[in-house]
Amino acid sequence: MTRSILASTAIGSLFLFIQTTWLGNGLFWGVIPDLAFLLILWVSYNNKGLEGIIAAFLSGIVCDLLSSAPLGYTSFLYILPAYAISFVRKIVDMDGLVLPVILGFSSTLLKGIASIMLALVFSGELVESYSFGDLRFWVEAAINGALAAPFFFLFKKLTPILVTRKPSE
Amino acid sequence: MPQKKRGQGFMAAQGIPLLLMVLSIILVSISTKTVQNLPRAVAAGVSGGVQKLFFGVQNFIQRTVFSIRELRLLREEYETLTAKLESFENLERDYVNTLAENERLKEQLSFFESVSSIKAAARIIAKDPGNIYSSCVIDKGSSAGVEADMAVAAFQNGIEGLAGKVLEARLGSSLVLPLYDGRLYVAARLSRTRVEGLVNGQGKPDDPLLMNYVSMLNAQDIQIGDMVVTSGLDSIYPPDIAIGRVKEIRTPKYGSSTLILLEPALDFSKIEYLFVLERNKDPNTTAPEDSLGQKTGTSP
Repeated sequence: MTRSILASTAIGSLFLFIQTTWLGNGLFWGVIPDLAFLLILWVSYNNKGLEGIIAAFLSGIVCDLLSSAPLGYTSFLYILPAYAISFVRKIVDMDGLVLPVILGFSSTLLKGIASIMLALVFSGELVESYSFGDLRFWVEAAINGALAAPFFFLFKKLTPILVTRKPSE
Repeated sequence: MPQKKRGQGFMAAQGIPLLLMVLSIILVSISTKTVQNLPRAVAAGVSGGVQKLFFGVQNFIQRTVFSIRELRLLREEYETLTAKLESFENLERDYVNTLAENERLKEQLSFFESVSSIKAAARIIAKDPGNIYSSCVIDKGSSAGVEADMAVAAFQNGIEGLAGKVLEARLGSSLVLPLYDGRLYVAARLSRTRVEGLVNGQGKPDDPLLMNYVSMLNAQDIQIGDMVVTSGLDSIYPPDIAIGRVKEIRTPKYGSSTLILLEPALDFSKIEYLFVLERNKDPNTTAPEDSLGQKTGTSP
């Protein structure tokens, strides 16, 4: 379990560094894809235990350290979809294309809802949130959805280090 | 029988003249001594023809071989020249890039030398990993004297513009909050009318900045295109650094203050270098000249 969590956090952190530098100006229309988030989703789906949620928390902390967001903000945004995935994996089986796209897109929407929840709990002055009326938010959801399929395929190659115990076991 | 006689007659009539003509030619040849050179001439003619033929073949082969070799050489030469041309093109491109970079650095350097309150010149090395928050990381930190809440400026198109402030100073890098971030508030004033207000961003670099708390009475003198600068009435931002130009003036029917929308002075998507400024030690001090070179007075 520890190996899976550490590996997920390390790879997630690597993705976050890529997001801040190489993808700093955005991939499309200035919008940065959330590769670390995609990793969290995959780890959450493919592990029976809490590896995904713990990795979501740790990666979120790393993201907050790199960002001007309050510490714990991104952790919350990552944990909520990671937790939701643990229910989804009992209902649907992962395929190569359709489910990753749906998961990437819908989980980004869930991330948006999580940010609005935080903005409601804290004041809007203290924490920023996604806006469903902002086209950039939908572009991010679309990019995350589109990139989910190829990245999930890549993550599958890292199964020995990212997965402790599959949900089917 | 008479037919045979007629044929012999025809032969005699036609052959004899021909024979005679040949004979006469031979005689002429003998008399002119041409005949003794005839074999030589014939041999020379034949050999010359054969030689010509051989020469022609040789020449053809030579030319063909040579032209193949020449073609190969030409191709090699062409490839060498193409490579050279490419390297020259790259050199030219490098030269143009170096020239442009030189111009940019000169511009930054002239700004660096002209402003005495610069603490450190830094380069943007990273940006925020997500799409909600907007911040950037510069390559100078506390080791270079950078501290939290120091103002950050940039020099673009001849204008010294406010870029934001240092949110967090680390050892070798600092986190900078850009001017368009919704959490940043800057005490500002209009450069021409000296009317004061509070500027903050809307979170996106493309959206206009908002100048709040401008008295409706003072707003009447404000014109579209007026420059808004820092007022220096806080301990963070030095005075008279350009913030933006008035884009729109919104006057509510009921209320006491006017909302002014500003076009940022800097194009944030093009900023590469930032200058961390010294803290504004005396909040009431105003510089003799603003960033546009205009003489400005003290606050009213």
